Amino acid sequence: MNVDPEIKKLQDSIQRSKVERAKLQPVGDKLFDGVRLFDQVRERIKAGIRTKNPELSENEIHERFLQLLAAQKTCEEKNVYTIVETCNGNAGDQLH
Amino acid sequence: MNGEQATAHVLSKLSELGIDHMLVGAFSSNAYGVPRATKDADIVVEFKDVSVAEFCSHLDSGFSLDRQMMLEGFTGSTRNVVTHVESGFDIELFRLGKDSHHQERFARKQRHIILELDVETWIPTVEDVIIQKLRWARRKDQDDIVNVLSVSGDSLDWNYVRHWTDQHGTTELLEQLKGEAL
Repeated sequence: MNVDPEIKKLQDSIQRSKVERAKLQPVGDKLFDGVRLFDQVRERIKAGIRTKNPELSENEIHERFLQLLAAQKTCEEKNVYTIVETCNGNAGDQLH
Repeated sequence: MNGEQATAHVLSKLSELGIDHMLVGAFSSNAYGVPRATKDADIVVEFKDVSVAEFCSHLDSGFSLDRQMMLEGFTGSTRNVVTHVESGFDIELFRLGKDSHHQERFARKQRHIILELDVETWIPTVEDVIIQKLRWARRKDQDDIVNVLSVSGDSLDWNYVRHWTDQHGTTELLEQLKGEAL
């Protein structure tokens, strides 16, 4: 994909700043950053769903969020995983 | 409980039950690179005396086990997915397989303690993160590799990396991605 040279310069500058910041952080400090970002993004997505659908309950908003997540995962994992076997019980059983 | 706490909880239970494990995937590439968001925690586990269902019975309520075991096509790993329902965050448990690099990666894993979560865990070495991500080689894996090389590329054991990339046929891709790293 061709990127405008000025935009490329800006992209590289932003990336360089991120790299320099990451170099200063110890390995252990960054280990959980991915899930922390997920937790933050989840709340933003739910806020968006809530704004667009004010009639939905919190449970319905959560279900809508889980559906979006499942759809994205299905796209990402297409042709990557195949079913091997199923343990006793039903898929998605609550454990308690 | 949010996703961070759910992941810490699973890792704590694995340690409590003496189940050898290693946190891989985006968690491990984030540790050595520029962190990005992730929807799941990938954990390689060595279940010797317990089944995945038995392990999951020790977790707090609010976790749901998908009893379908899935086979991953790139490296032949098998996984079960445990979802923390409240947060929507998945914890994917990959069985330690017989793949020779997976065995060596597991043997070389390094211990880390996350003080604020009161949890200890193990992650692969930076070299093994790169080697494994090259085998997957999806765009996001390639981006992760570029980020890891940019942040941690100065101190790699390149002989070790190339030993495995030559075996896996991923050396050419590695050289290409080295060119993209800052």
